[in-house]
Amino acid sequence: MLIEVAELKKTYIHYERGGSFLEAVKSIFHRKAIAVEALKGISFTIEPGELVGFLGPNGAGKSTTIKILTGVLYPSSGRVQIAGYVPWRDRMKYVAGIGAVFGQKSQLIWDIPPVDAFLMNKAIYRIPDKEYRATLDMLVSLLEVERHIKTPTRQLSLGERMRCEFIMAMLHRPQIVFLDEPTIGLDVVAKEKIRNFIKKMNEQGVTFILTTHDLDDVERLARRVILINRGEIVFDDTLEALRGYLGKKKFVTVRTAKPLSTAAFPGMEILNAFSEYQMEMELDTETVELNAFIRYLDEKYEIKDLTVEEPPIEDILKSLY
Amino acid sequence: MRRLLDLLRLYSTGMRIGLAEDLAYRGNFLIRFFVMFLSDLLFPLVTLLVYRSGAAFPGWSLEEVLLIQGIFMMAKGFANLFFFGLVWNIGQMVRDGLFDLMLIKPCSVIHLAAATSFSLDNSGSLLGGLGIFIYAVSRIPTPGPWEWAAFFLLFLLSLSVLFSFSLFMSGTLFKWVGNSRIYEIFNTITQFGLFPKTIFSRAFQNLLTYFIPIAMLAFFPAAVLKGDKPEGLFLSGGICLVFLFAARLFWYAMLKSYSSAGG
Repeated sequence: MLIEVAELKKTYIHYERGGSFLEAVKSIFHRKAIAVEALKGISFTIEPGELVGFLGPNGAGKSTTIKILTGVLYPSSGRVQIAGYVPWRDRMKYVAGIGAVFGQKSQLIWDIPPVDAFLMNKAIYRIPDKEYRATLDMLVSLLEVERHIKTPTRQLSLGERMRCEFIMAMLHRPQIVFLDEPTIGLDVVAKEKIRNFIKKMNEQGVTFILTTHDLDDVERLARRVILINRGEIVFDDTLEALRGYLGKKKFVTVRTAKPLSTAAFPGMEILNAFSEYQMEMELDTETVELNAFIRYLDEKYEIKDLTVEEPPIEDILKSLY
Repeated sequence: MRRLLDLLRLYSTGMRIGLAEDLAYRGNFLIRFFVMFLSDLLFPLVTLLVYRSGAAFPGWSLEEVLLIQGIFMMAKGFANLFFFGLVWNIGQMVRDGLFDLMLIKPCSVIHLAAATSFSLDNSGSLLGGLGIFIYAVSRIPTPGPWEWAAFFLLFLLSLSVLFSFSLFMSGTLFKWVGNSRIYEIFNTITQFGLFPKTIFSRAFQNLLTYFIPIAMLAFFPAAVLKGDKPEGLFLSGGICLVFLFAARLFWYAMLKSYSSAGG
């Protein structure tokens, strides 16, 4: 087991202050302290080589968990063991083996080219020259940024910058990488390049913990999903299991030769009627077999076109949040 | 030994990157360099005016006071160049939520924050101080090797006091984010170090020697260089080490209260 988290709790103290002038003056002398339980005792484990999607709405406790796992924050209580280290206690030794990419926090230096900023990590991680050169060449080639690493960071596009962020985070060849919204704001091409890179590195044995609101990232990358809400884990299983969470439902959109208005079948519900001949239906496959339903439609209404889709993952998440 | 080499590598890379950043905006670099150079000459010029008008600090010649002020500027210039930037660096990073990035690096956060704040435009103070120091030394009786040795040792202690101040100041920023007036407070306190401590009341002298060792910033190093054996020197040296130890403890205690920024 690579990561073991048990009964992890974190409580923040916030200070409440009203908006009026009187309350602002009052707050100079006295502020009302409010304890906010960001994590209420979460537990999970992660094996080496896993790629886990860590999901949850804003304020659910995702970032707090990641910050504790990276050694940035001290927990209020609980136990975390990662690769034999307690992140906040053995910080220096532990962080030498991890990497992190924060979509909204840059490790690059704005006014100088990324290749110069990489040298800082070379010094920090004490990477020997030969190893540094080999790793840099490999990452630059995988991420296709040969031309960009010598351009000042401020002149790079967001996608180019983000690919350079990945180089910065992986120069020391970490075995565990934390990704916090790595594709935020990127176009489809840039997203695809980043996702391919993550997949390749994961195939090489790197463990990834991916925090994101982009469900495409999760669907294309993660095999396992941990859902957190209000400081508690509400789901921890495979992506397939998550899909089955709302029951075995399928969405069928069909266009027929004969009017569909009389269509009725146990376990089927019409969601949208685009016309007499074209409708979207929800099918509960626990009640009715998909094949039998398609046969019924074809025999009675003569199918011209048909698509079958899984329920959107957003719907599943909404039901869990 | 390996740790020292790692640290040197970290600082040299930080300096190289800092220089590259400075040279990205050459105009700004040159303006800041000269502003720092000229603004730090203000106190020596005032001292010159005081002595030219016939007034004096009792028991201290113009050159001896300039020696104190030259050492003070050199110490502050060195600190600004090599480690004082950690205060701004940490303040800015804590406010923007970027300090997390420092904590995920396998090295001392204090040294990392200092090394990544190197900026050559701060060298104006150091060069200005060095100029005044060379002028003042050339006008006092030539110091012997023991005086020079004692001076260098005390100059290191002077830097340790400034390093302690930078830890106290940056440490408070973990708890009181956005404490923008902290440098003004520091500047006001340390400016007592620009003058011979003997001009102050006895109680205040004790405060500057044994409580907050401001006298070590320039007064003690200047005094030994001109051959004096100032009262309280050894005890004040010990206080500097205690001050450094306390500052380090304080910094790490405050780091525990770091709560990062949301998101």
